[in-house]
Amino acid sequence: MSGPGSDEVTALAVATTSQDPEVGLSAVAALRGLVEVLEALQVENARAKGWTWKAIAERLAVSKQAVHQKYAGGRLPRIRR
Amino acid sequence: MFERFSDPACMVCDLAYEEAERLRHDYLGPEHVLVGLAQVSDGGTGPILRASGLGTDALRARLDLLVAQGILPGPWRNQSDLLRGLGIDLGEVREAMESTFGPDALCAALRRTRHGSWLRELPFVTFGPPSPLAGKAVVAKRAFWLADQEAAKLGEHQTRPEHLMLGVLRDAEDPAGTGLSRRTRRGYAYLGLPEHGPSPVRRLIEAAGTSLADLRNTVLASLHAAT
Repeated sequence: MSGPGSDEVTALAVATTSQDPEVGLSAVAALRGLVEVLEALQVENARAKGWTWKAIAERLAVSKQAVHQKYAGGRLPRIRR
Repeated sequence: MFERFSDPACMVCDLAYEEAERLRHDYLGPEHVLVGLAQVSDGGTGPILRASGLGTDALRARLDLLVAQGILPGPWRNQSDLLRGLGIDLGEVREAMESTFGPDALCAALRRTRHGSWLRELPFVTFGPPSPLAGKAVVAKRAFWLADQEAAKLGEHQTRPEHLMLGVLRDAEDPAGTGLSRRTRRGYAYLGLPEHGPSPVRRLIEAAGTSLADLRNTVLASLHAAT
């Protein structure tokens, strides 16, 4: 895999914090995709270790109902109608 | 999806992946598969494409042109590069997660977060919300599925590069975004892919002065000649 050189990375770092909305917004979306998966991973792990929804919700700084609605409901993903 | 692929067909997929990497694309599209097909040297699809003015170098030049025209996404959209711009090394995150929780847990979390209609539209679905941890989105899935159909129609039990090419050509007959849900279209828009208009593969082939039907007939003729 041919990654970008260090100059390019610096240029990107500047670009991401720069005022170009196209780059900035795309970076935020990538970050959100990353956070979503990490959150699911940690919640799954906490549940497997016997944590209650309330305890998980406290650590995530959301309501216990919110975390239950999002992650309870078996191994298969939720199907939206 | 790849169970029926022959070894050369799998090699085409590897080459396509490399082409996507070269363009820093976050998806594996039929246009990348076409470049992979052009690199199959013995028999098969490479000579056919080269005879139509679609050799590897010519295809790459035209792909770069499509990127420059904004029809295909530019390298700056690469999610791992964007995250590196924020100081996050995606490879390190993935490694840390896999060594702590195991690769199965990461897969499960990915499956869980791509909630939505993936069960309903199975043959055409490409991916859920684009998470950078998920790897490349397989935009060429429809082409792969059509390739399997072509192989089955010809009574073959394996999908060879020729069938892959027929699949890519069939897929390119329809405008970009055919058979996709609104949700997946949104994913396409995020990747920077065209949501309508002729498919990129069609543009590539017609820019070389040949047509989808001509190429299809040539491939079918070569398959008949081989049997």
